[in-house]
Amino acid sequence: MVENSNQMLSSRLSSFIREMLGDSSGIMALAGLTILIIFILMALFAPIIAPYSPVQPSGNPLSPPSWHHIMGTDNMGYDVFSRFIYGSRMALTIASVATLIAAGIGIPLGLVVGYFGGAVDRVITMIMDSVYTFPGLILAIAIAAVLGPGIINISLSIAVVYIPTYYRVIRSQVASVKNELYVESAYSIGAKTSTIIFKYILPNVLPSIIVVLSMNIADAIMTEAGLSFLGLGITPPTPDWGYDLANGQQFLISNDWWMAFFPGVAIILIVLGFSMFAEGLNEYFNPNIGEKR
Amino acid sequence: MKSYILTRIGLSIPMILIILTIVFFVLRVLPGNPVLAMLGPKAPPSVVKAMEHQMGLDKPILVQYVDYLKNIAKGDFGHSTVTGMPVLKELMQKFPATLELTIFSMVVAVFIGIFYGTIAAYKLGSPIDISARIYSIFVYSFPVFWFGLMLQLIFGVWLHWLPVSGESSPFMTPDPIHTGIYILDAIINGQWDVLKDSLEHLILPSLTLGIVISSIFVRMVRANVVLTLSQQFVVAARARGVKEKTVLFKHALKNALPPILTIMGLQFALLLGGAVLTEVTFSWPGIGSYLVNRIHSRDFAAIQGTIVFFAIFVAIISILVDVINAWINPRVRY
Amino acid sequence: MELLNIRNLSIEYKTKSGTVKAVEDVTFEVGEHESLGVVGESGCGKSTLGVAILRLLPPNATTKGEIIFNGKNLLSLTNEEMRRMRGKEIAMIFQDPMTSLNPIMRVRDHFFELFKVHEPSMKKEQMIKLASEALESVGTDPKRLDNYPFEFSGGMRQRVMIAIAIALKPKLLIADEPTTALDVVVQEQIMQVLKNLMKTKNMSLILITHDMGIVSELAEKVTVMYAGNLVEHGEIKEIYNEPKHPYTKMLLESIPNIKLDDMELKYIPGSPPDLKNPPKGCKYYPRCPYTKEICKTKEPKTVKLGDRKVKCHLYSGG
Repeated sequence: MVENSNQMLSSRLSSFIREMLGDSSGIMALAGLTILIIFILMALFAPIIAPYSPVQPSGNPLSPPSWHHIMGTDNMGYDVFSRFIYGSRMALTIASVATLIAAGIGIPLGLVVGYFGGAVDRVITMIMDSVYTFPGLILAIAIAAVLGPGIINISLSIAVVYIPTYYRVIRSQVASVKNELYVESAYSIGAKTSTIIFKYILPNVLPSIIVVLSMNIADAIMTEAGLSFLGLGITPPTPDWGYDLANGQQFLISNDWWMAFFPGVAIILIVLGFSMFAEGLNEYFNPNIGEKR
Repeated sequence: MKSYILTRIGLSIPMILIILTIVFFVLRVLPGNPVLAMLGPKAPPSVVKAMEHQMGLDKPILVQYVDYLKNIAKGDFGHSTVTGMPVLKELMQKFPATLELTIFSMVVAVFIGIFYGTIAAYKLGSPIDISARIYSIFVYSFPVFWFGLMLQLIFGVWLHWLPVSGESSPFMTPDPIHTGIYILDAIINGQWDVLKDSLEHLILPSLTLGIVISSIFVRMVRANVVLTLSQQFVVAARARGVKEKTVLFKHALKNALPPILTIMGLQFALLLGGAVLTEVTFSWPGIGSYLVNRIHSRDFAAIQGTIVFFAIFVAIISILVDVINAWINPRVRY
Repeated sequence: MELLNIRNLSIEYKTKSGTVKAVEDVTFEVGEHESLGVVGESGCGKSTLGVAILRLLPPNATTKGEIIFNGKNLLSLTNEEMRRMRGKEIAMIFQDPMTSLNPIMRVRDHFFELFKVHEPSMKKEQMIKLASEALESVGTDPKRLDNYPFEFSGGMRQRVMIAIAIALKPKLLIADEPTTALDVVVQEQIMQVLKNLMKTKNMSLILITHDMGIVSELAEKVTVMYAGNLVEHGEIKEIYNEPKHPYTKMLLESIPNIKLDDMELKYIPGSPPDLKNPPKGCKYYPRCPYTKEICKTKEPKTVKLGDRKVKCHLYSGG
C-alpha cells in the first residue's frame, strides 16, 4: 500500500514537472521556487556567505556601496549586505512559525467543522469571517503590542490573523467534497468518521492547502516586515529587514538610500518567490481559487 | 431598497460584536498585564493595585466585558492614559486625515485597476495583458513602506518636486476647519494656496498606497471582465452593432462590477492596514500614526479604542459596498 | 438579385493544438424574402457560418472567400462600416435566451441602445413606439419594456430577443438554434412567431439548427453541412422527397416521426471527424454506408443537379 502510493506520488510528480515546463504559469512557479531555494540556502549558510558579522561594525558608518561593502554600511558601520543575508533567517523563521501555527489551528478546525456542519459551523464560521474581514495588520499590531517583542510572540500575533484564511478554504472544500460519491460510499460501508476525514477528505483538500500555505507565507513575511518597521518586531540589533528599513528611513533625507533600499529588495524578492510559486501551483491544481485573494 | 439597507445594517451588528469581543479578550486576557506593561515590571505592587482599580481591572472579567460593551454603545471609548482626553474625541480629530488618505488611495487603485484590468482582459494574451499580469504579481510584493520611501527618495530628495512628510506645510492649514479633510476645507474656504499645498502633500502617500493596492485590483478586474466578455450577451450586443467601447465598459465591465466591488470591499481591510504603514512612513497625522504612537507610549485605552474604531469603520464600508452592489444589480435589490 | 451570396467561404481557427478547419469552401445564396435552413450536427461549422456573416468571429479565426450582402462584400468593409450593418441590416438571435440579454439592463434599454447606435437623432417617443411595435409583433405586452431580463421566462426572453433583432427592420435575420434551449411547447410558440414575421415583414431568414423538423416547418431552402462542408443544398421539398447525399438521408431518417409504422428511431452511427485532423477524401466516408474506394482518397466535387447541389462521389460520376 505504502509502496503503491509512493509510486503514484513519483509518477504524479514527474508528470507534474513535465506539465509545469509546458506553459508560462509553470515556468513562473519554477522561477518562484528557484528564488525560494536561494533564500533558504542563504538563511541556512548565512555565516559562510556573509562577508562580515551582521552585528559588528565592519567599516565606516554610512559608506555608500563599494567593492568592500557591495550594499554599503549603515549608521552603525554594519555591513548592509551581511544584514541582508542574515535577515532572511528572521523573515523565514517567523513566517514559517506563524504559518504553521495558523495552519495547525485553521486546518483541523476547518476539517472538523466543515465535516459536521450544523449550528457550531455557523457560529465558528461567523467568528472566522469577522476576523477575516478585519484588517489583518491592525489586529497583528494590537496583539504584538500586548505580547511584546520576541520570535514566538510576533509569530503568534501574525498567526491569529491567518487562521481564518485556512479555515475558510478548508471548510468550503470539505463541505463540497463530503457530498461526493466516494465519501458517501465510504460512509455507507461503515468507515469511521476520523478515517473518512483523514483518508478521504484530507488528500482531496491537500492541493489547496499547499497553495494557501505558500501564498500565506508571503503575506506573513510582509506582515512581519510591517510589524518590525513599526518597531514592534525583534529587538535590535538582530538583523531584520523591516527594522533595517525603518532605521534607514531617517538617513534617506541625506541621500543615504542604500540602507532602506536593499532590505526592501530582499522583502520583494522573497515575497515574489512565494507568490509566484503559489500562483503557478494554483493554476495547476485549481484554476478557480487564486483570483479572489 | 430601504428595507434592504436596514437588514444589511442589522446583519453587521453580530460581526462588530465578535470583533469587539476578540479585541477585548486579546487585550485583557492574553498573557501580559497592561498595567505592568504600562508602568514597567519594577513598579511597586501597591501602585499596580491602585492602577488596576482605577481602570476597573480588578472586577471579574465578565463584568469588565459587559461594562466595555455598554460604554462603547454609549460612544465612550475610555480616556487616554497619556493625555487624559476621551479616546473617541482624539480619534475623531485624527480620522479626517485617514479618510482623506484612504479615499485618494482608493481612487488611485480603482482607476488603475479598472482601466488596466479591463484593457488586459479585452486584449487577452497580448503584450499589454502579460504586462498587467507581471504588474499585479510584482507590485503586490512591494512592502508599502519601502515603496513610500523610494517615492520620497525620487520625488522628494532627488527631484525636489514634492514634500515627503506631513499633511501640510507649517502655517498652511485651512482656516477655519470644517470637515478636517484639508482638501475639502481649503476648497470651502477658497484658500487656493492651501489647497495646492495639501494636494502636494497628498500625492506621494496616496500614490504609494494606491499603486500597491492596485496590484490586486488589476488582477481581479481582469479575471472578472474576462468572464463577462465570454458571455452570450456580449456577443449579442456586438451583433446589434453596439460600439466596442460600449460593449467593453457598459456591458462587460458593468456586469463584472458586483463581484469586483465585493472583493474591493474585502480589500478595504488590506487598504487600512496599508494606511497605517503609509501614515507612519509619511508622518501623516491620521489614526494609524496615532495607534503606533500610543503603542509606544503603552496607552492601552487608546489602542483598544482605535481597534474598535477600525472595526466599526470596516463594518460601515462593507455595508456601503453591499448597498452600491444592490444599486447596480437589480437582482439583489428585489 | 440575391440578397446574400456566400462564395467559397473558408474559416479556420488557430488553436494551441492545431488548426481547425471549421468551414471549407462553402458557396450558397439567400434570396430576398427567402428563408434558408442550415442543418447539421453540432460542430459541423453551421454556427461559425452564422457568426462569420456578422464578422463576429474570435480573433484566432481567419476567413477567406466572399460574403456579398446587397451587392457589397462584407469581408472588405471597414470595421466601422461593418458595425453599422449589424443590428440594422443584418440581425442575429442566439441559442440561449437566458444569457443573451444583459442582466443589468431593462428590456427598454436594450431597444434604446440599438436605436441610439443606428439612428442617433431618433426621439424618445419614437423609440418607445418602435420598441412597443416590435414587442407586439412577437406577441409580448409592450408594458414589459420596463422589466429586467430575470423577470422573464426563457421563451419570453427569446421573444424579446427576436423583437430587438427585428426592431430596425433588418433585411436579414440569422437565427442560431433559436429554439434549442427551450422546451417543446415554447419551441412551437417561437416557431410560430418566426413564421408570422416571415409572412408580414420583408425579411430573409437564415435558420441554423440541428433539427430537420424545424427546418421543414419554416424554410424554403436548406443547406446541409457536414464537418465544415456543404454536402447538399436545394429546395426543401425536393430534399425532403428525395435526399441525395447519404448524410442527408440519415439526417431525415433520424427525425422522430409518430406516423411511421415501426417506431424504431434511427440514428447516425459514429461521430463527426476531428476537424484538426480530418480524414482524407470525403469527410463522411467513415460513417457512410455507400463508401467506395475513391471516397477514401479523393475529396468529391460539388455537382449541380438542376437546382440542387450535392457533394458526393455517387453523383460526380466517379
